[in-house]
Amino acid sequence: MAKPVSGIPVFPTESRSVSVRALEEELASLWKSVAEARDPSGSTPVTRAALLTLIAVVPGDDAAQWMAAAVGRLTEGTPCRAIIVQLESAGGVPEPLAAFVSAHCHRVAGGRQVCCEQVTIRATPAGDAHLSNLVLPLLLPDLPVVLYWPEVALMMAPEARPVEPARGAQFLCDLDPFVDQVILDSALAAETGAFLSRALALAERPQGPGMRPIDLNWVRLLPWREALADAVDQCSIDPMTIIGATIETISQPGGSLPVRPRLLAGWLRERLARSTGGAFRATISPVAGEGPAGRIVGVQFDIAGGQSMAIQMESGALVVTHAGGDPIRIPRPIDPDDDLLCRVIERRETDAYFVRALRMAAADDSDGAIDPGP
Amino acid sequence: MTLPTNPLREGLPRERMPDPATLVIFGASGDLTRRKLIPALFRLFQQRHLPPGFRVVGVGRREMSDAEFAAEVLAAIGPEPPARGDEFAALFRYVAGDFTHADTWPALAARLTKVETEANRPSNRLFYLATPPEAFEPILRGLAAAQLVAREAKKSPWSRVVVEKPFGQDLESARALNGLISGIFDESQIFRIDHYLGKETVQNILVFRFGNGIFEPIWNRSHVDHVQITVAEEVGVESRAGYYEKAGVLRDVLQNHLMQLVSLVAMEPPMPFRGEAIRDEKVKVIRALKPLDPATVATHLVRAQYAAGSIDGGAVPGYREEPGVAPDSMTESWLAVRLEIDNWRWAGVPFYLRSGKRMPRRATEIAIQFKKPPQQVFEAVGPDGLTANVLTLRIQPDEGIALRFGAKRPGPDIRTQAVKMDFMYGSSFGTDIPEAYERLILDALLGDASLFIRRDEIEGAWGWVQPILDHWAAAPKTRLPTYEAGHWGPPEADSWIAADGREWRNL
Repeated sequence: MAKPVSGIPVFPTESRSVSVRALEEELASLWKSVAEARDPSGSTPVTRAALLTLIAVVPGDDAAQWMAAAVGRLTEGTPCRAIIVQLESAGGVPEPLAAFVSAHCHRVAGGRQVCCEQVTIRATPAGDAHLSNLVLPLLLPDLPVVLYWPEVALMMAPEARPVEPARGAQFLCDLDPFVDQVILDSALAAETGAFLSRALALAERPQGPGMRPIDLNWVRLLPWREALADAVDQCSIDPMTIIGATIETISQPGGSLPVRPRLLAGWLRERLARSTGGAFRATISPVAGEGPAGRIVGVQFDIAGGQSMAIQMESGALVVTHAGGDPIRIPRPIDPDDDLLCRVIERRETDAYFVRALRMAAADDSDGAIDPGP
Repeated sequence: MTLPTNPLREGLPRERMPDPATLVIFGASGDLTRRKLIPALFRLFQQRHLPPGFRVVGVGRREMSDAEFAAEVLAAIGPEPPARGDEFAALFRYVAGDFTHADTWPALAARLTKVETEANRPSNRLFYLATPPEAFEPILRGLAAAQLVAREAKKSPWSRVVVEKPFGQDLESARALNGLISGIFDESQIFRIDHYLGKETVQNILVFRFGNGIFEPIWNRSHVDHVQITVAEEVGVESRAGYYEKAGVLRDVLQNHLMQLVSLVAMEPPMPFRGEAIRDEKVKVIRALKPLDPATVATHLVRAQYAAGSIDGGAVPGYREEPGVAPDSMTESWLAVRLEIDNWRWAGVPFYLRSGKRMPRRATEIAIQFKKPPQQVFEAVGPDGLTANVLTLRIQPDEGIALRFGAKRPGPDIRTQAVKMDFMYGSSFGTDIPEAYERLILDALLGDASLFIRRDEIEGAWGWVQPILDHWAAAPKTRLPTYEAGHWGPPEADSWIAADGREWRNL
């Protein structure tokens, strides 16, 4: 059973067959328990705070436990109501739907204790049809709703509508008008071309109610984006003179190019093609190496006049080599995924640069700018 | 050399990256540098907000090597060396010298040239005057004589100067100081710092007012009865008696921090919301302050000194018994002032400002007291029932916003009671609130003066308080009202505000 691991104390209640009313009673009871369990001196009042509702749809126990831990981290900086929907296989639990509530509590300045609710729902395929009726009434009114559902893009038809027979498609369809932002993860996409085109379709839907996507893999690129920007500044390079980039990435033999380097290439093209009047080209060069497919190990900039600048990832730092000078080390810790997820949810802004990079990356298949390598 | 804007920087969390520069801190071995500037710089370093090739050159009287200064830097950022502490300390250099000695300046010039050459970057320099005000003049004259300042407000290489308060002792000295600085730096290169403006909660005043639709329509004389702004300190003069005896609350808090808060609470929305437009609107408030009539100035204020009392359960001496304070001192350690803003929005709404030392606790807040409903139609419960609505902006501590309103008590009859709706930064945003100096140093490096004080604002504020100083000088007293340490103020202040039909808030 999933349980919050950070945020103390935690008050899980029994998993049981649920109704909205039963869950609301459980939540009321939870708050009473938290208040009673506070500092016996009574000097540390309990504050209930929420900035948003987070819905996370995850498969199985391991993912649910990871998510609960991430929610614990998240609530330290972004109090919220978290609803974790754990999609079980048939027979995983006796009831079609089961749920329990728990709290993540943290002390803040002044000794005050801030607590956030977590509702965990376990659903078998037989319970899928009832998920919407259970989850939608639990959304906090007047606050944003963020959905973490890594596979959402692949569940979408090209016209950006959920399609059967993907599991949870109807639930997704029902959630869509209420969700402000959906967090995807293209690292899980086996078919990168399909992911890019469907994610782009989702991002380019007309303005109005409905979720806007952000890709966790795009956020994983942040250290590289910052490092490349820093390297250009640090070496006093005029961005107008950068005419090309080669991105070295770990790639599986015979596999398609992962999304991450394609997004980086798309971003570089979108950013630098403007300043160079369209002369800029980005090439992805698959290399053998340790690590997951899509991991970027180096970027080389080609600079007008025959110069180049190389940026390599080496044990927590990026090493920049330019014009025969001494290598410059730029410390660049790689954040774990739960930190990245917290950052995305905390910031919650629409990232226009992601959409532009996505557009470029999705278009790359057609213009041949990316070299798939040998 | 001027680099074009880096398109790779756009859209990143660190979208604003300062130009490569050297920060020159005068008073490098002093208290302000150790307690505020170095920790703020370290936070900026940790968050990678400092530009590539950034260096700090400290200048101070004490003889010290670079290594000894680096050790002091490390000590200032924590009892235990934090991660990357050594890397941070390696950014610091030190030049020993007396600001009044001519040979200090060539030594500084040589060191700056060396640092800039090593880093292979332009001579962008931010001079930070973290010294007592007596040192301002020799430093400014030394900088000019050694030709260390790029006078023009050009993009690169640039020179800027950060000046700490106090900006003068009165209107005349403030004008003289501004005249001196303006002879060396263009106004666009001058960053007069009031750290209150770097506080997140102070900046939030503007977001609260202009980012929400429901408050601004009632933010005026039609709905607001009065405004109370309190800057309360629990501490006494401590080791600052030498400075405080010459300053008092008026110069230490009223003329700067309190005036800044007044201008932010009372200003009109700036368009656009940046830079000079914000400063223009603040200045308009200062200019609209109803001038104090020298004949009636005494009726607009109460000043006092703390007497012996207790704080946190321990006995503390009275102001005149503090070490370094004259036994017959007439310096005010507590001051309340009533001001009015002579404009369309605020005509007739009094602003009560109070500040003092040895008050029950440290607290800075702005309370907007709204008018009561025209008729009392409900029965109130207890002394708190059916009081006016109060909107409180808590600047520090417990940063947040609270609204007091009436609610029906549960029961068969209609009886009301005042309740409080409370937003706390710490509860809603779990992240640490950045220190004011982090934001202000970064802004100065970026050349963004929005949160710094302009010359006309400083001189306008001094112009308003000058009649108070003149009155005190013209009608000297031998004794001030007193309040027991650990109390909110003297009884005279209670009767003073009661004469207006109002009362002080108990924080």
